[in-house]
Amino acid sequence: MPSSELAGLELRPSSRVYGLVDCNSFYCSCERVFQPKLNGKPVGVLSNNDGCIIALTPELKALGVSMGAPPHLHRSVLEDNKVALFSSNYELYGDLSARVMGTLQHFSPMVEVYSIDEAFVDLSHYAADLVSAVGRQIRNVIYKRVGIPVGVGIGSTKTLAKLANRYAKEHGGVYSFMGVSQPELLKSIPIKTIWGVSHQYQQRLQNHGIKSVWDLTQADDTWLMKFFPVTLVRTVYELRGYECLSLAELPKSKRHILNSRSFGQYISDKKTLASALSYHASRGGEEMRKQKLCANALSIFIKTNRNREDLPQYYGSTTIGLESPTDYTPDLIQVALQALDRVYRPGYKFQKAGVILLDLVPDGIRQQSLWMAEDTLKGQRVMQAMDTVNGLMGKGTLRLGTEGFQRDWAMRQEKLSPRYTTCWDDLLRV
Amino acid sequence: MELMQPQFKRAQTPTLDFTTETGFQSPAHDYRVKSLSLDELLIRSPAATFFVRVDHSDIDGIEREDILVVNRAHALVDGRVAVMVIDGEFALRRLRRYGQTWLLQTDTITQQQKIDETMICWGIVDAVIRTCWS
Repeated sequence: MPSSELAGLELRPSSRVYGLVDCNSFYCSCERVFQPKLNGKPVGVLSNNDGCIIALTPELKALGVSMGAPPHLHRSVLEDNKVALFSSNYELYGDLSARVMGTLQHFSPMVEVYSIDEAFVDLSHYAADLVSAVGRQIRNVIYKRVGIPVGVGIGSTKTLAKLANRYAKEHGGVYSFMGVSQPELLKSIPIKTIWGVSHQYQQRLQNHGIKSVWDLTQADDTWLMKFFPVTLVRTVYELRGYECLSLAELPKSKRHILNSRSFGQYISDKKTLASALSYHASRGGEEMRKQKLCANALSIFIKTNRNREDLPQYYGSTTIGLESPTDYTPDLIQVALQALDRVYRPGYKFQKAGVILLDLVPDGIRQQSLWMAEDTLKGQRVMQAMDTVNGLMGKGTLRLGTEGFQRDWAMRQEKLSPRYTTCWDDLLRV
Repeated sequence: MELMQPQFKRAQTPTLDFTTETGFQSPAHDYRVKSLSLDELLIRSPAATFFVRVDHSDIDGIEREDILVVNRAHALVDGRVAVMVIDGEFALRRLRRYGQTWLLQTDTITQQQKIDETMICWGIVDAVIRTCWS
């Protein structure tokens, strides 16, 4: 029986169908769109200042190179195998991401962007026996139109869709939990693969003989409620096919931090959008400092209400690489506003805006320019003081004015590909 | 000659406030129309359309330095010009259908080539843009 803490939720088996669409080796796939001869060859993308590998294809993984590896440690492997390495070209990735998300809107009225390369689509309006075919079509259409290979996981809750996505690759790109109960598969999935179950709780579950996802779905509610936080109990319900997490409540991806909010009323003017984005950027900065992370890139989006067909529709999104990984709020705000300059269009009624911090790395490996060091340390102390005050007196008590911080010395990007889709001088040549 | 008002997307289009101090609308109010946009004319599938610059062309009507509006949403279309990937390299070819087979042609040489699975049709050319300045 559902206990009181869950009782507020409508606990009926979900009647919805969700797809999680996830781009395969997204940054590398973006580079391959414009260099098709790299299909099937090992490709890697480097962080800012070309410090470490932040994206790689299975072909590169097979050579023993892993995520986060500094390329100089693998120099001979990389050279011997003629591995194509690129500096991160966030303008290109952001543009292709927007195209993938735009293409998804042909399939569903509800597309929820979860990260630069992942989105949930509501597929409830398709007949149950067709959803796998729809999944395959999504895959084919995105590959044909944008050139990016994707995997699609399908389930009656977002947690199940996310789990199904893990098995998409080995099932030809689409995997669905719909219409079949699959204890065998669930028994073979270790609990560590589930979203949002921390190491500490995994241990506790295992000590009680709960090893697989199947075991977890069979666990006793009262026992779960007594020894685990409500978020875990909700995840268990999601795995059982009861929808109880909204997008905002989903476990945070470790790779990015998203802050967004719908406006109370439609907003058209740039100034108000700018202050909303500044707010989201500074919340994101705060969250990174709490988790001791730094972002390599920042992406913003502004969107109109798609359900208001009578109003002109616009979805603007862009991504900008930061010259060095940072958690420093003034820098984040400055870049967010620069991004707004690029995508803002007058004459639309905007309903929602958000800031996504991407390619997070532990702040210990922050790479700094020498002459920036002192500045940054000072910045860190200011940020610490700000977070403390905001923690005591409430969020947003201390805020930054959004004026001038210029840091426009060039970063090291020796292997940068052309900005094929965002710069006239950089077009693909045929 | 008909005078047309192009729309410059990036430029700040001043929004006119048609309400005068008397509270009456301007008599021009009813005649407001959306200005023309080249994007609207040339781009059929925004998410699938890419601009490409010509380096080398063996196709009539397409010259070096032209900008092509390439649409990836199309299936193969008989007679249209495609951006093909042949041996991993980009090339412009005219598509020709003979029964079940598709052939690739150029307009300068009579040689034809069958499409095989090693080739990719990257996109179909929807429009050619040529500026008169250089």
